[in-house]
Amino acid sequence: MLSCMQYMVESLDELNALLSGAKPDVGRWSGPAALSFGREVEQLSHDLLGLRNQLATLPHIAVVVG
Amino acid sequence: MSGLVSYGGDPAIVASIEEIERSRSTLELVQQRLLKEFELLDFLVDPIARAALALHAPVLLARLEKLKWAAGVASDSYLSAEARITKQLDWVTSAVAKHPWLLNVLPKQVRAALPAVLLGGSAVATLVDGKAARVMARETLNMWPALVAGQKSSGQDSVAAANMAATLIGVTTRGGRTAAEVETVGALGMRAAPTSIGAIAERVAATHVAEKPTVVIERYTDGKRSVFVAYLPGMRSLEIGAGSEPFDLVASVQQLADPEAAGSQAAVEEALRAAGVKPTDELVVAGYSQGGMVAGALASGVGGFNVSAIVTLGAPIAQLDLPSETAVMAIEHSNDVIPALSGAINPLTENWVTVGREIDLHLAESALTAHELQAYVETSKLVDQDEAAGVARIRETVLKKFEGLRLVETQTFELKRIDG
Repeated sequence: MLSCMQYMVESLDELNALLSGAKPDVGRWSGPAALSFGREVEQLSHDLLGLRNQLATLPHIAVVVG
Repeated sequence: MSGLVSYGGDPAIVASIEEIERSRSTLELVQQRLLKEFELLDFLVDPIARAALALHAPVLLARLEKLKWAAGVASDSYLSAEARITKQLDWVTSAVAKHPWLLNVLPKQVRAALPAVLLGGSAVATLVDGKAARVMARETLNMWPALVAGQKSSGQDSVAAANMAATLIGVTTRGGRTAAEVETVGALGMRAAPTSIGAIAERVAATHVAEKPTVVIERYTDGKRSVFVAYLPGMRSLEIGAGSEPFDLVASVQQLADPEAAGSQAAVEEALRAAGVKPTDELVVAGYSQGGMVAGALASGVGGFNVSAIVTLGAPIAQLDLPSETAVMAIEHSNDVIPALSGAINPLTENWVTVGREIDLHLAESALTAHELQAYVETSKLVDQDEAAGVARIRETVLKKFEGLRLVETQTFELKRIDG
């Protein structure tokens, strides 16, 4: 069974993959605005990846309830 | 400084509303997924990681929101009808501030800052003398708010308004086709191929001012293939339902509602066939105002011709779905309300450049001065000197269509609508 943290990391991976799809398709949207938009998306993706890596290295604590 | 402003025609700068919307929707999805991470109530398991995520999430969500907003702004500034409307209304506001006398020539509806298509409607009203036409324009204006209620303005809205207007003046715009006939009235003197956009505009102007409704069609060849060039006039008559003039007010409305039903369309197609244009022959069409609409309709596939390039002067063509392989040079003055009749702005694509300038309006001049053909001829000459990448690229594409080809013949056709 996946731990919550593993789930979260995988979820962030999925989010990252999804986010990369937000980058403009050059043939359909290109130019200065699209370029800066694409760069912002890329930076966000990079930061999300950083967060994912940070979470992956945190100590795993499970609290059993009940 | 030429004072020209342009967009489109440059492969490095393109935008489609679908693509921008796709990016925006993806960001929305990411945002929703990120928010869902907090619905799991899993703080009891891996609380440190969950807290770390919770700490960063607001910033990530804010950045996603900002990107979504940026996509919306890009969409608006490039492509939306709203952008055009704002531009038009901005023009009205600034023009009235500069020239208070304009208030006397602008209809009340425009003063009330109704959408740009209304402004276009009012332009028709100022063009027309006939009572029915005034009714048409007034009713279009009156009905517009109901038409656009709850929906975004687009080229389709304009088409719907034109349909209503056409119904009001008793014109069938669906399912019917106005018949037309053409007559060769002798070839003009042989002349060389135009070497500039200004020269093309001058030939359009010569066609427009001809005594009778006329199109001029040139044929070029290199011995293997033929390229035809057609020059089309603008609206020549304000009559409604009378006379044999195919380029009348009725046809203008029909061009917007259903081009295939327009007498001007039928007449030009007849002339093209009479000139020997075959579906496989390359065809370049240049036209002013309604003639530009006919050119656009031909390029969109009406008539089944192989239109490789069009040059339009002050024509509403944004509502047309033009193929990406057709080079389009749309010359539009920013304060000309006629192109705004399309109810949308021209797309930002690599095959379509929109270029124009603002025409100075002076005291006692009609608000339609910006639509005058001579002003468009002058603008076309400036287009020839413009260095903007999109303008230069489409200009060369158009002019290369007949570069190195030999002029075979120039035919002039008189056009006549035959169903009265």
